[in-house]
Amino acid sequence: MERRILHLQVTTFPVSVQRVHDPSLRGRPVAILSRRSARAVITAVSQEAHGDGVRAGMCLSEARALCRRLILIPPDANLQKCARAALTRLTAAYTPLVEPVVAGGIFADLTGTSRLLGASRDTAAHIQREVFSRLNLPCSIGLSSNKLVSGVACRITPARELADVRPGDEASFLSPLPASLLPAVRQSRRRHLLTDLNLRRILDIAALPLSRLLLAFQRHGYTLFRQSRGQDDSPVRPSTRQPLIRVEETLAQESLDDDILRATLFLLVERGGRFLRRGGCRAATAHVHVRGGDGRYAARGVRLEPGTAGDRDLFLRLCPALAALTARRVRIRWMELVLTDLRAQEQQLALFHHAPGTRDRALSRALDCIRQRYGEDVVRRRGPAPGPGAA
Amino acid sequence: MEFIVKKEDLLSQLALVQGIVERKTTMPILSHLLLVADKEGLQLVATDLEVGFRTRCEASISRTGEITVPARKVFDVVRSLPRGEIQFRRSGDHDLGIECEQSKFMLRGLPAADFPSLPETALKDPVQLPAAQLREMIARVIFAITVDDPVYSLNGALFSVEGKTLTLVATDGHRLAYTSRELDIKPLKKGIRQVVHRKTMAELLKLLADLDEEDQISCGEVDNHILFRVDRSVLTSRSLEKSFPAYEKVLPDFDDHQIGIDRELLAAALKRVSLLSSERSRAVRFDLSKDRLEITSNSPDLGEASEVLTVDYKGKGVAIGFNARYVIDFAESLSCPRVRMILKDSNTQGLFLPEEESDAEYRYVVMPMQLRGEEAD
Repeated sequence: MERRILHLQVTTFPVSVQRVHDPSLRGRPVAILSRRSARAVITAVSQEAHGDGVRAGMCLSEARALCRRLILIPPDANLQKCARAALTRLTAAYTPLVEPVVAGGIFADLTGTSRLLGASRDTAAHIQREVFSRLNLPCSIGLSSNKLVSGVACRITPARELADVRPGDEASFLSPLPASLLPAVRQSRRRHLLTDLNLRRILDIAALPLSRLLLAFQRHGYTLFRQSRGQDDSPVRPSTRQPLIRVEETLAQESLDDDILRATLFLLVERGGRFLRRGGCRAATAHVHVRGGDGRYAARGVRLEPGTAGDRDLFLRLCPALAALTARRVRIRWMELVLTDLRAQEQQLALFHHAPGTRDRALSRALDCIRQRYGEDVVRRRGPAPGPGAA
Repeated sequence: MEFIVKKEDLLSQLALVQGIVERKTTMPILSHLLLVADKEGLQLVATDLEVGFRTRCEASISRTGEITVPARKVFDVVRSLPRGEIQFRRSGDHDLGIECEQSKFMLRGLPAADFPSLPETALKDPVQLPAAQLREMIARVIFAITVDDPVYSLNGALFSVEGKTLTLVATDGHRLAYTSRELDIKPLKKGIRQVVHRKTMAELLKLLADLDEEDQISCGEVDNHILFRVDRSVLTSRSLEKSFPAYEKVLPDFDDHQIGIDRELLAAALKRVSLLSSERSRAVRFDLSKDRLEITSNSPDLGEASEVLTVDYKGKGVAIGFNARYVIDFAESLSCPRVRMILKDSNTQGLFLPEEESDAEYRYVVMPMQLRGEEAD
């Protein structure tokens, strides 16, 4: 059976959601700002603000300089959550295989629905109209035989329009597009390597044999080889709720000072660790995200098997990730810590020695109790140095 | 090399060898079996360099010689053949021809000279151990041996014969099984104390399975190997690092909360309740109060389960988390009707033992699990 995969993306989702809540924002340049300070980072911009040169990742002062009439609003997580749920519910009325992806984005598998709902293109257009009429959210839609091509088609399609790539046309559709649109090229090092090799369009990559791609990109060469030909077998997976803890901090001043960056990381670790311990769980994966002064974003992940909830342990294991992120020697403006793969804090005690991290967790819990009773800043823990033996 | 052997005789010995040979090894010779045809019959030898096994099988030898053949393949071939006599004949340097009625096979082997040598099997001062009692003791500790632990000594069980006392101890760092028994043997001048590899214990248990109550096996040390002679078979094992953890220190000497409970009821309740515990930790909670033990499990993804058992307990209430698998292993290793648990608090090891005293002392120590909201000091 011919696969038909739809990718729907609400245009500038956080801004569109705010406009539903406050219609006076329509048609005006709007930006979502994490917090009210001169160094705060813009996380999303409306098309009007984009037209004036404002981009996500800029700090407030830069954005203000480019667009003086810019309207700044804080993100409303609850509103976005409601909108995401409504979007998923609406799409799920057409197919049970719905996979929410990035904010305001959804993959839906329409394979085999033609006898019930009619041609998949008509169904996609119907969904698009319904999203606008019922939720007041403008969206673009890409439709093709796989997630890769649908995703790319959706990205290059303007708001409230639909791109349908017919089966068999995937490679020819992708050929003239910039190589940076391929998911495998989003990683900055690979993007730079492609530029160095003068591979600017997808057809340039598709023209290369697999052996040469493997030589240049190692194991990622195979992914590039397939993606440049529009091949993607990945299924649409209904979402499974994965709880995570996300804490962020915008630095008072952009900095590349190791002490300041480590102190910021430790602050995030303490905040995240408190959420972990309050929920009686430990994290088995952590990601550090940073945004540099030049607006570029980078992230590093660390596996924390079998999971940890101790501040010191968490911090020491994240220090190498932070060091790797600062290797570019560009001042850091914003930092975020995301703790995922949360597990119940059940720990088997050891017979012959204390399990590692027991004292650290006990100290962290004691500090949590003091802060809960007397306030956040009543006690501060000195951030441990990333070397052994520091406390 | 040429010999004729009965299928049943050879198959039973080949089955014993299968546990020794390595299937995924970087040394192809270790997946092979050495067949030696001599005047006394047919000898089968297998080794993985840690554990070695020699056994004999009755055969009519026409021409002596030796050859190595893939252990798994020769077992499959012999098993597939009809009952009766099988003729083996070496052809060429390393090929072994097998014939039985209308079936003919030719197995490619490796040079017999490449097969690793095993230690001598002659024992100077062997100790005779009663097979049935040793079997029972091994079964009570083998499950507590770690499968793959970076601490090498935890990959085996402590095997100790001091005077007339045989002691076996196994631990994986979270639980410890200890059993000791006074044997009716001549006291040893020089005792045996070795950490015996898990694989050796498992193979020894297999060898002991078919022996009768009154049968005995010989045991002794040769170089840095421990050797067990069971009937016509000899099992040798290279000694592991001798620094076995100081187990005496973790055997509890308190008796704060003593509970008597039906063994089968405990095992069945734990199996049921642990169905809804986390797959990874298998954690269950023991809530003990007067004449009542409530076992509960809770997994955010799966749900909750609980079961209440009537127990013989008059003390104060106490709540402790355990890995259900550890307690089930203990309950299933015994055959007595009732067991006893001695607990202290949620951070101290619990002691499990059979309620009725027998000739063999048996103690099973399990460290608790910290459950949600609990934290060790």
